[in-house]
Amino acid sequence: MEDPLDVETRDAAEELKDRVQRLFRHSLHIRHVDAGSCNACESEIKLLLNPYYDIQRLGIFFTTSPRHADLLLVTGPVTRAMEDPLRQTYEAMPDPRLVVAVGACACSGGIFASSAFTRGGVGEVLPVDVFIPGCPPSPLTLIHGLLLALGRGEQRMKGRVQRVRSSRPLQMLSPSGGEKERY
Amino acid sequence: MVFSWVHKGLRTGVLTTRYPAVHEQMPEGFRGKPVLDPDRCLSEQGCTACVQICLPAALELKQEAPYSVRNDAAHLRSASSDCKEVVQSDEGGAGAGATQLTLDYGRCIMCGLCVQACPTGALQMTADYELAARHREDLQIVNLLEVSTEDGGTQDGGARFISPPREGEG
Amino acid sequence: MDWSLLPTVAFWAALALYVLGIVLSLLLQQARAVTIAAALCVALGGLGALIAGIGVLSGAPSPGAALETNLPFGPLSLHLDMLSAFFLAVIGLISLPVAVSSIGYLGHSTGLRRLRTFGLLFNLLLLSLVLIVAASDVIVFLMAWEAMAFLSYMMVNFDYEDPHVVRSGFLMLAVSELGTIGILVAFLLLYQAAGSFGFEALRAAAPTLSLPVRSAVFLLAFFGFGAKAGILPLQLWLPEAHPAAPSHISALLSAVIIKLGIYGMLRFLLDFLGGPATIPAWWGLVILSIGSLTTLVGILYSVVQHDLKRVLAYSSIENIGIILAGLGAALTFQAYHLTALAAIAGIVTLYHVLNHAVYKGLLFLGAGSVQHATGTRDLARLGGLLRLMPWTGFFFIVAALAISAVPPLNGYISEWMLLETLLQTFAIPVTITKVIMAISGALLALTAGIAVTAFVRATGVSFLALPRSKEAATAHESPVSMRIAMGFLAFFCLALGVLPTVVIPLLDHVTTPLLGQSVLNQVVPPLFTNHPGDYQLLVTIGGGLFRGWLPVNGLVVIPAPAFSTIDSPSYLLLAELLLVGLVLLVLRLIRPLGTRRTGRVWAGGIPRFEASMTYTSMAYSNPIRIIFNALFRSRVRSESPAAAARYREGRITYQQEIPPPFERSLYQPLLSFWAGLTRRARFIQSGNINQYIAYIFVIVLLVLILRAL
Repeated sequence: MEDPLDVETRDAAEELKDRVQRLFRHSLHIRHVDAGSCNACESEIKLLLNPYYDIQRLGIFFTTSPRHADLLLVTGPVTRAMEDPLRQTYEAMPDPRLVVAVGACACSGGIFASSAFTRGGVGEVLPVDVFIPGCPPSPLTLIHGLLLALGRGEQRMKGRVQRVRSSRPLQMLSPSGGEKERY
Repeated sequence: MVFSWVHKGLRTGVLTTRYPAVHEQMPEGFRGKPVLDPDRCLSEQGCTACVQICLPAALELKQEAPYSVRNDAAHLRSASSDCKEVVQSDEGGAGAGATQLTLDYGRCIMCGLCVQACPTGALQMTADYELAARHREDLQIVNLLEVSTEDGGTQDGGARFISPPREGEG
Repeated sequence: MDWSLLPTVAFWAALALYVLGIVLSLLLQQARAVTIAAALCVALGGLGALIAGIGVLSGAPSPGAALETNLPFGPLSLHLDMLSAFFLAVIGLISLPVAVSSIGYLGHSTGLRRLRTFGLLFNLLLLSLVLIVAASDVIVFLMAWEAMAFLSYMMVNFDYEDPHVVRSGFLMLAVSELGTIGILVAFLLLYQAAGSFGFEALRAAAPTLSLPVRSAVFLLAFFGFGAKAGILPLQLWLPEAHPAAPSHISALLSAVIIKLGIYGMLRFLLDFLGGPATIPAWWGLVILSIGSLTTLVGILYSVVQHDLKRVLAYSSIENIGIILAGLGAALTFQAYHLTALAAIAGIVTLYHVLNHAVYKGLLFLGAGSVQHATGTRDLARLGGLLRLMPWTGFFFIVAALAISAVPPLNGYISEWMLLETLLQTFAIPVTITKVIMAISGALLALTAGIAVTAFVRATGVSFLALPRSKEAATAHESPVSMRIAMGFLAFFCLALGVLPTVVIPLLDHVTTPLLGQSVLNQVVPPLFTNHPGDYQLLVTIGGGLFRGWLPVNGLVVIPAPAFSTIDSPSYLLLAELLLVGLVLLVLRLIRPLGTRRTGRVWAGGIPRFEASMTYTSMAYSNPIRIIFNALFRSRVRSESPAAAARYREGRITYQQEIPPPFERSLYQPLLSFWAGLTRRARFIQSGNINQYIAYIFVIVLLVLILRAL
């Protein structure tokens, strides 16, 4: 069954976006904004700069001023207090610019999704280019996500359809009440 | 002081990971993304163990009610957390409702409680860390509980993320 | 009409106008009429002085006069030689805008009597200034000098109700008198050898003095005139008096009157004592060392002041140090018979005198506008004035750029030439001299950097960001007359910087008779002629541009011999304009290629700006204070009660006190020593009549005994 929203479909805007993302292919400056996160994501983000993960070897750097930034890295569910500063940061960035949402909170609001004091994820406030789920996402997940934003990585989350088959044999289950066996 | 650092650095060698050029295996016990084996899933039989235990409501169960709604049977699809009582769906040919178990990775906090709660082991925790996606919809996985014959049934590259079974299992 | 007589006419007209100003101030009945009449007389007199000065410098015959009197002092004579003409031009150039601005500054809130007094004193003061530079004999000079000291004291006391003002004025007068003693003794020593009070006689007699006597004259003249100029151990009055005076008087004080101290030094050191007589090298080194130390101390204290006018006052001390460094370099080169370098150093000294007069005058007029508009000079209460006073702010920024030696304004050319000249120290054969000169050069370079800090702070804190107080938020633009005056000076800041090759020939006319050599063709190579000779290369690379537009040799300056460095502020300005134009053109052309988006100023995402978020003047200068604390010996007291520390309630206070330089280390010990001495001598004044009669008896006895011997 074909999914009408298959990720393979691209329109002209997406093509353009791809070309723009490739501008930053080997040189990217990131401005990080904490929009109300618990800082677990920040703990993982800061690991990117240690000698083990070392994203600077990939040409990715952190910068403090949004005027110098190519990519806005947002953590947190976007609390009410941080909404305007986040918008201001985004507006201060010159084009072309990318937005990456890091963590469950930034993707969807996470465990704070039902709160009246959050906006329910960065996607509600800004146009997001890459979502990186996780709570917190490990540094490798972050690297994968950043490289995806740069067009240097491949997206493996296909959405909509997941087909997994376990290679182990199944055991027939009794339909009612009886003993179950856990696999 | 500086020279001892240089010496130590030269002695230690290069520690940096070579990801993404080389795949890196996460340590044992790492919780990546949970995946569902539709063959083992009892959601069609009314099991809602994972849905109830999921903290950020990443797992959702949607059912289309059949045309001839029988209130008694339809409403009984709820609540039982250990699935001792499995309610038979009324599939008397009147057009059974399709069960849709949605897993939204955008909300998933990878806590693994759903894996623990699952009575059949349909939900497994993998060590897959390449989770990023360009669109929000790409993160919303709707499990088809029908087996699809389109591709080999295995996500490309996914096999390497499945952790080997622990001792005493399977 | 014989144009060469114009300077003479202008000179006498200026003197007549000042007298007219005195008369009108006393006769007119309306307050406004008095202000305008006095100001116009000073302004037109200044114009006359300027014309006279420039005319004589350009070669017109010098005006002069001699008045025979029955006094046993010889004739009272006036004569404008080149040195006098230069300083006369400076006086005229600055007094003109100062007078114009006084029309607006002395608004409508001052009483008739005070305005009358002011008009009278203003004209008298300018008259005395002109007489000082035109004086050609000791009596006229000293009388005019004392008149100037006294009149400037009176003018500083314009707001005499304020005891602080009175104290500052008195301090200025006291130190000035102390200097006058030195000057007087120096003149007397020369007079003893000369037998007459005329400057001609003194000049002729100086070489006949023995070296120790000449050195004594040197030291007395240097420190005597230095007290008026504000050199290092004697600068204590300057930071008090300049802020206390009304702003246009401060401008006159800082721009002109302290330069008369320099005039006196030049007159003594280059004119009387220089010439064919040998100058020992240590004279120049003393001046150079004191000059560099003055510069450093002056600018460091300037950075940490919180009163806008004190910042400017200490900056004047700094610039006097720079002028002294130039003078010291000239004398040192002269001592080693490197007359070309000495002449270049002399030109640099004079150029800096002129430049400092222009931009310091402008800065004080600007500070005066700020005080007029907001009622305060405290940097902690100013802010955001650029939006409310755009013209004043613009002119103030021009002056701040000029004093920071930013090309192509005038500060750049004189400071750059001075550093280049000091770098020529390798030409001197004696090592110790070389080292001292090199260290002085390094100190001057350091102060150039700190000067930028001081003026970024002063300008930024007062004019930029947000108003820090209600007074600053309700400021209004200055009156038209003040704006015209500031614009006039700002124009000269640019003109003197962009056309140095027009100014240098005039300065060369001053240094040639004093230092023995004309270096015009060396410093301003003749590129505009048909046969440039050695400078053909310069012409090829564009040095012949604008040939024929100006009656100058060329537009390129070479302050050091043998092509070691070349500059042309004129072409630099042209290049800057072209570059800016080019950039704007390119931006205009590529505009359709890109998208444009206008956004808010990025300030960290804060919801709104508040004045408390901006730099305070104390915070900005704190790093300098900490680094140089061994010099400042600042005292910091901070109180934070525990409740305030936990953000509950209470008040955290921070107090920082920086005593003026040498206050505790030199002045207070000296003063207490002197006070102790006088206290002990008090016993003479016992109040006992019998004791006084006894004194008379003893003195008469002594006189009789001495007569008999």
